Amino acid sequence: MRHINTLENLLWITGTALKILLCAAIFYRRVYQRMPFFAAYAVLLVCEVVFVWTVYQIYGYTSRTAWYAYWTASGIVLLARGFVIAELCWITFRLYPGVWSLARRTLSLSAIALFVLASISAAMNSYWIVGLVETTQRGLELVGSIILLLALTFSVRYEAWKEPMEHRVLVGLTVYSIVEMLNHTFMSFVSTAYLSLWNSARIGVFDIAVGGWIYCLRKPLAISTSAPVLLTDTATTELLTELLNGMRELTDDLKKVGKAVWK
Amino acid sequence: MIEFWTPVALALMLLIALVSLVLLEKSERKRIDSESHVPLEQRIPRNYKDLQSIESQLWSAEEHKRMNTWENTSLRLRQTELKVVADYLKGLRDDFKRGNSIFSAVILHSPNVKILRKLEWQRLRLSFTFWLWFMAISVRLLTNSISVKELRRLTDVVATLAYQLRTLLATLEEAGEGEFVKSLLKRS
Repeated sequence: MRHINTLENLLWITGTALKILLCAAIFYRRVYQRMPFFAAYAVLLVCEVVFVWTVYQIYGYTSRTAWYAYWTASGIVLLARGFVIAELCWITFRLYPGVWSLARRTLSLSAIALFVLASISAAMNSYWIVGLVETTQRGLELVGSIILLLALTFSVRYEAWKEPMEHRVLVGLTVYSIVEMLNHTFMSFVSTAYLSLWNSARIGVFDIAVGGWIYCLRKPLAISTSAPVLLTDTATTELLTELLNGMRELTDDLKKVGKAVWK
Repeated sequence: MIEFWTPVALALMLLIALVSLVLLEKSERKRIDSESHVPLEQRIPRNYKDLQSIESQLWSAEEHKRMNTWENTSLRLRQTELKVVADYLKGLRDDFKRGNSIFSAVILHSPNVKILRKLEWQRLRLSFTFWLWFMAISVRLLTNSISVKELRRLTDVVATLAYQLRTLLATLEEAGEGEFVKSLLKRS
């Protein structure tokens, strides 16, 4: 039977303290007004700890009830994280209809693919809740990290900078998603002797991310500046079409130049 | 083992991509902050205007060697002229980057995905062609030579880009979007 070791216990306590602190900071700084799903996610993190801890105390760490309680809570938190990822994309691009439309399509397609994969795996697993949550988690970690990286790429390419808090949440969640993806690989391959160490490292990474979010909230959040509206939709379309034609001409000129010089 | 190494390699690639993007964002923000004191009129491409002066310097330096018409001349450069041309090329690169940055800020406001896709496609083609030319001239410079024709063509590309940019900004200003133009230039 596997027991929780001292390091894991310490991380559990530190993690819980950090999650409670994050919740307090979120309510103190009124982050829920700007990022409601992130605020809900932070609350759920605390609820998960309290719920799972209580079940462990009443039914024991190795009981069937504890096992179901853990996976159910993980599933709910995982779903909440998916919503936070969507919220981050929405916050970054909502003011830019063209880019947001592109990002939304990518996100929706990934979500559908993920759901199909999770359903197939769950149907094949005798413990369906584990199958559903594990596969969803593995898929979400990969898709989530890719979507977050795409959001970051879009934001760098178009110089649509995010506020520090949103930026920190995005980077923290991306790192955590990548580590979680690795976690599912290591679980199957790494010897049990190292599993505890790896698990501590994984929890440590999340605690560092939470610490970073708390650090960001030490000061009041900067007032989010909305992007100026570029004329009307019709005028924008006309202007950009003109720009497009200009760029086409320029590219064609370049092609001609290339032929002339290299012939 | 492939089942083990594939996700590990994937995770590593994602981490590298994340670090690169974060560093890129940081350096861009730093550049914008450091240029906060630069007047707005200097934030649009302008280095390409130095071509005439560069050409006259090359003309004087290479006068005794010229065999063909000036446009078709391929010159072998001495250290002094080499530095002048290399600096000019660097200026053209900065112009292009700056122009591209302003364009990206405008493209960001595309009202729908259709026009965004078309603009992005053109932007990618243009960037690809510019960098191809830039690399070709840079490689030639490594052998201490330069083709006047190529240098002029590259200058033409940047000049046309700058012209389009000026037209665009002027149209916006005429439409009463002066504040938008200012904010655009400040963050590009």
